[in-house]
Amino acid sequence: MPLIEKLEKNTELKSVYMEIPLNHRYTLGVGGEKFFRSLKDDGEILASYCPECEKWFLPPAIFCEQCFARMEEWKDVGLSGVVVSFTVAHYDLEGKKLAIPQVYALIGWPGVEGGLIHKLGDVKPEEVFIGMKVKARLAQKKDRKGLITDILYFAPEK
Amino acid sequence: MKREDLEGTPLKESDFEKGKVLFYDDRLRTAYNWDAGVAMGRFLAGLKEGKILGVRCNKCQRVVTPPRVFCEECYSPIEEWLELKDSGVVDSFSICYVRWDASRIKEPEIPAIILFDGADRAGIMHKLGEVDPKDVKIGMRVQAVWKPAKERTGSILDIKYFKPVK
Repeated sequence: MPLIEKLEKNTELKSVYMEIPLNHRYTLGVGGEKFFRSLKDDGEILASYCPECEKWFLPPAIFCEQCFARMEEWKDVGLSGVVVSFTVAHYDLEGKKLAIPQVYALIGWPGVEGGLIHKLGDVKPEEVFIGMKVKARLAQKKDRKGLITDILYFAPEK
Repeated sequence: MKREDLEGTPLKESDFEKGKVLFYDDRLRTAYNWDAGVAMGRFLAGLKEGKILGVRCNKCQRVVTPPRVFCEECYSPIEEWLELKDSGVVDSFSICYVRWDASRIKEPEIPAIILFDGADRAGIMHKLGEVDPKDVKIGMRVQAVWKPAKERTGSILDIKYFKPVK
């Protein structure tokens, strides 16, 4: 009997619902701090330059990810980039169907390694193409917090 | 080597309050629903009624709680259930001045393993209360302090703690 017990009332089924408290605080690091400060305070998107590899990197860092050289030269690449790749999400994190599909894209800058993954807005999914010119729409300066969501989305550049 | 000599950015709580660095707080969603299974489910249902249920292995005659559906010593199925007293002895304990989240506390928490009267050596983990930490001893007699019946939910927390008894 014991291994398979016949329960006649479903109220006898017993489970324990709990949650593990798992809080964390994320700090951005030296390079991240500089990048997000500029985004927050100046509305700039910064890239960093590796003198050894002769390449610009975005997101910027204090060390080159390829050769570990220090990167001390930084510049604003501007808010306008191009769609390098994209996908259309029809479901949210919970698996619920979205009323309006959301386009996510990797935005690149010409001559810069890397890019930013962000949302596209003001555009229909069927209108998006690789190579499309897009521009970051920023939150109002007073609302910016130094987070990637300070960029609300990227919209097609006319 | 001093902290200042190390590479990196030492940060204090006040640095966050003053906005010295950007940061964000977040939490991971870790909700889960654990299926207690047949034996533990019945044990938890017993707690709701203010009862400590145990089982007896009819092959090796061990009486144990928390209940299980087979004997882990002789592998025979367990079928006999019995109600135990809600008193027992402290089998092991710890005096904790640091909580699970690493915060410090003045009044220590005293987790202990309780062996119930009438059961063989297998016990449950719980807390001690109404006791001076200095007086806690292995072998000390304790009794369950229950929540009021209407507040019980079928959880191990239906027992608030165990207190010493003569």
